[in-house]
Amino acid sequence: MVSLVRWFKVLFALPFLLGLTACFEKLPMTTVHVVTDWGHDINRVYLITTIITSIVFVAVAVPFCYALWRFREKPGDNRFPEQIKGNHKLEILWTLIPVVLLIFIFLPSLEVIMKRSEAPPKESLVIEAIGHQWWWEFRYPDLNIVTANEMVVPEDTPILVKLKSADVIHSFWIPRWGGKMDNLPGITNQLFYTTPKLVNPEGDYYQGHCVELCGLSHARMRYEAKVVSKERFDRWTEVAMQPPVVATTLEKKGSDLFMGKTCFTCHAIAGTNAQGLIGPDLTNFGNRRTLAAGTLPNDRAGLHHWLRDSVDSPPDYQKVKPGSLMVFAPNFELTEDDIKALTAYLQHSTAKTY
Amino acid sequence: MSNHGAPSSGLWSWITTVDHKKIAVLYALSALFFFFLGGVEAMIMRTQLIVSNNDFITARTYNAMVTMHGTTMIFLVVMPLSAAFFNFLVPLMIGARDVAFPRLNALSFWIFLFGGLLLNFGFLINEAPRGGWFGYANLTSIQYTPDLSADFWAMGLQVVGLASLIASINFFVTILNMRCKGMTLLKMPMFIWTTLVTQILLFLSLPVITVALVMITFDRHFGTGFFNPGTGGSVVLWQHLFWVFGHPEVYILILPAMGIVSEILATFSRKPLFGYSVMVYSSCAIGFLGFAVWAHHMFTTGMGPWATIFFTAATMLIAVPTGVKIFNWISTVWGGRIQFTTASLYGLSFVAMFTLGGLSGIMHSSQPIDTQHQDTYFVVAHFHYVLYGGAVMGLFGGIFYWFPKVTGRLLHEGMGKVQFWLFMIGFNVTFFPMHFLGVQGMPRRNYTYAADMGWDLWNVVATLGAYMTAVGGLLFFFNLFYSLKKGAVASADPWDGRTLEWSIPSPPPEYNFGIEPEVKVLDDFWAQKYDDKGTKKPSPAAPKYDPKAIHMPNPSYWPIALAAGITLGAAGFFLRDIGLYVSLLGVAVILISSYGWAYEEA
Repeated sequence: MVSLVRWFKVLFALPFLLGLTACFEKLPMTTVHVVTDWGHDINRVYLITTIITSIVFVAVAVPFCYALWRFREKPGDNRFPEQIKGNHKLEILWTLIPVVLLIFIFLPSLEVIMKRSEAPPKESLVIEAIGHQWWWEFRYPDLNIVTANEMVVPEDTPILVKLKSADVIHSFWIPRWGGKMDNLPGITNQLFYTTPKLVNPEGDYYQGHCVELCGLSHARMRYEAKVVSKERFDRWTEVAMQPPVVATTLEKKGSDLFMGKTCFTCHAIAGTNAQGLIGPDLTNFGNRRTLAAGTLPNDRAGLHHWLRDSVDSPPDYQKVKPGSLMVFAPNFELTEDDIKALTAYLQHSTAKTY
Repeated sequence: MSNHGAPSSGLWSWITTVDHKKIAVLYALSALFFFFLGGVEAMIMRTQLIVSNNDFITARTYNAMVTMHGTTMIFLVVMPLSAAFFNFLVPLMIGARDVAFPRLNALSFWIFLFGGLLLNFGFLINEAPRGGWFGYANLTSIQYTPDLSADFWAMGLQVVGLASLIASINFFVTILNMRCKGMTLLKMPMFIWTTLVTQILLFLSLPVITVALVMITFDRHFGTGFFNPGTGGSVVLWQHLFWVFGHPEVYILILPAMGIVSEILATFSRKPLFGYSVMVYSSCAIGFLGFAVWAHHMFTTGMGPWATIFFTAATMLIAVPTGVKIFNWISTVWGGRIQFTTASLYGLSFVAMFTLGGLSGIMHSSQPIDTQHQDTYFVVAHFHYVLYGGAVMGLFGGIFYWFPKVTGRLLHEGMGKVQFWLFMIGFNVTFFPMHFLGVQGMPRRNYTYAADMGWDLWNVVATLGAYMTAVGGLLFFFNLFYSLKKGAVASADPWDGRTLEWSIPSPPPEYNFGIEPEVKVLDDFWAQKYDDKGTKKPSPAAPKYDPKAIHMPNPSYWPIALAAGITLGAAGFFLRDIGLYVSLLGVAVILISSYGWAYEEA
């Protein structure tokens, strides 16, 4: 009997303790460690809801487990249970109590819904987040800046993110900043945030991920919000669309390859002949931490892996981005030296100091 | 009985049967086959997700697995398995000899089977559906899914939906018109009530998806632009249409299992179901409110505050009758004499697991919280708790409970209990950690995940739980085949039941009841066995009747023929050059079968 009670305590305590560890680990996509007002508002409702549902869980689990133990048939037991048909008082009680408990969840929810339906501050920095299969285009219409997969923002500033799609439904989500909103083709949705204050002077990165099935590489459609100081953001806006600076012979070779082979037909680099609109804008590519929408690190090995896989794999069966539109004819040649040159151009020439 | 010398065994007797009991077995075996298929799809997915950046399968295969696992489990497992129970039990529990329209009943089965095969046909040509079980536009448009996979999905689902629509009319009429003497509505077993509400939900919601699937098929092949934003169409329109069907659909999935659990818990506590009339009203309330909550699947589409508030409130409201049911089930076992058989273990586990699923559902009924949960593993955890821990466990309980009535043999209890624990433990080990993964931000429908996200541990745990479940599944199939041949012979009433099906032999004769029963109270069979103090009453004398004077409906081959015609008509959409001719052939078969059917002697 005692060991049974102990088993039950373990059975219920274990998931609870595991839940706590899972909740409080500070992972890149955690919804617990939020840094915006909206995030905090959501978690306040979540805390109330978790407390209430936990109370209901105990109120259900304890009588249920007790009944199973107390009223189990024992050997030789031939009791004929009283054939109780019901109890009106109980029915009313356990109808009304849940209604009351739900009101305690509904009212705070209502408050957050109404708050989010207010107009965003007029001085918000407007950023358009356009979902593509399978990368993120970020446009700053008031600053004439176009970039991809890394959304640079100043700290502690209201921003208004306008959500669009170039093809199918995607969904914009930075968990530590709050909830998600869909990028619907043909419609413009919006999310507004006040960006968090800077923690690391070098810049803070917040992980984002597409969260609506959008085809083969839905799992490979990450992005990051990069928060920098206001001064650094202003410096970034000045250099973001400047043309690349070609310094070495290797970089020159890379530039020639980029403009001579097929890259320029799909990609754009400001101030050059590359004005393609199909793939991500690579104007500021050298400053990005990752490539292929957060799939690979933007270092020598990463870029090498990306280029090799894109050229060598058959369409729809690429290893890095299955279904990627960056496909080549079977006889297309990209040598190791070509890759070295392109890497030098893309990672150094396009990188700006700010 | 006059049956014009119909064969009672052999393949032809199964192909031409119009007997609700045989049709039930056909549904159950087909559903269990698809359960195996859906289980394999799940195992493949979990193996792919056991480590980050895994390349066990390609993205294309994974997206097909996730689409087909959901589509199969919902439309080809839970719904037909529930239909097996409707088929077998509805006439027996209401004291009838068959359903209102026996040939229509057979038609429903064959349409379902052929539709299920059509849905899976894409696998044979490497074009299995991969747009998700919900087929969101415009990913499923011809522009973004140029191959036939989305057509297999749309037309396969169209055919399968037709089966349920036809059957819903059949059972609705049967329940309302064919109850035996004295069985007023509030003396029907609880399972019949949940079945009735389910049929109403089916025939009100299926037409919506029928229309939506016609629209997407026309968009894909005939140049319309309902869901094409480029031509002024709306992708959100698809979502509304799909979910107006899709939400009642989940109540269609859970209500039959709830009815089964009500029967099982009453029998194995040796007490009546607590609060019968409240349970009836709650089931009706759930059915009604089920049509008012659909847009909680669309909380992140930017509907505006008023729609958001309404659907948050309605979704929270539906938790009330659902909770009432849980409390009534607990009160049923309270004070009883609880027998732990495999069937009752499944019934009891339903109460526990469905409660957990319901509580996680309350969390994301609040839209602010849902903006963090939507499209993450938190939702995957929620619906598996209610659909697997709930519906599937309830249905398995029903299998163990009524297997002796169907076959005349008992399923092996020892094997059954081992398999129950493998399922129960495996299920919780897989899906409880998914709540954590959801809170940690892991998105759904991702064929892989990166190594720097911190999701590795719980994915390994979840996969190990899945393997345990697989072992349980295999043990179940072994038990099934073993017990069919070597199971202990069952009496008419092995569990000391409360409802009419236990008053006739196991298995029942073709005509079910020799003499039409007459009931005076709810649980009339129990009242005939025991008085209020539990003293056994003398068994009434066996009624005398002439079996040869009972006329049962003749078997017919028109239902399978008509089903084949309908499926051919639908399949014509997939074939490029000969498609039109195949569809025309299908139409010809439909016309001939309908004519033959109409002029056949019943």
